[in-house]
Amino acid sequence: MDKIYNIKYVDASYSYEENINQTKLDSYEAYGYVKKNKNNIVITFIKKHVVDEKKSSDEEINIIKGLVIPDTSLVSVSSAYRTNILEGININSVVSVIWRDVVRVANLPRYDCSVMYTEGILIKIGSDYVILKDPRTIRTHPTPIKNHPGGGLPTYLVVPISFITDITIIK
Amino acid sequence: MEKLLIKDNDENVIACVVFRTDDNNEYECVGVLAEEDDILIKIAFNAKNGEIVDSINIKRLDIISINVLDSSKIEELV
Repeated sequence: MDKIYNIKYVDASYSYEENINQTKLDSYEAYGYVKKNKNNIVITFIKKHVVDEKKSSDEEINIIKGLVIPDTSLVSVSSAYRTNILEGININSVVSVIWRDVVRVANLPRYDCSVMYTEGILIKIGSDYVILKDPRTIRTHPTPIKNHPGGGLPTYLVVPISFITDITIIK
Repeated sequence: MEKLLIKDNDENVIACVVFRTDDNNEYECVGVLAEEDDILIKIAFNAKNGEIVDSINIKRLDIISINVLDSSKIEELV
């Protein structure tokens, strides 16, 4: 039997409220089978049951439900993450942010996280997250490029700093 | 199958379940045994701030095997 893991991680979140009082990241806890794929962690919740181990070599077709999370989403990594990526970025700046996102996988051979591009007003820098107001987000990977999230425009986006790969002041 | 969930025990019961679906495929999953009654068991995979966000209900009749895991067999990835 494959090894089973208990995984504690953080994730980005959208808010549709008029005000946001977030003081910490949402905390997640999952159980599953884990495989590392470069800087992604693939967590399988449900997989095909294969008695013959030789037939289970192609794991991609066996994942029925699971998650792909950035390796920087683990609680221990996110809380201790140190970066100078936010140096010179002031509150109330309009910024563009490129960040990696957790992906829910269902019957798909996905082994990497999505990449998001968000423009919004930086209103808060917490110890391990930033908050953008009036975020407009597109998913740039995988293609096709599409708006994110699907339903309605959020008023705020909370992103773990450890998810951010680039941030630039637009104005 | 005997019931595994002890309501007054705060410890999570972690179970690995092999089950069959209507299309006759066999699947396996692992998670917290969150609920059970005479017909179904609920296995939870993922929780946000303590609230279940990913789970599956499995009919008892579809269960091929269920294996309650010792917590020492589960590795932490934090």
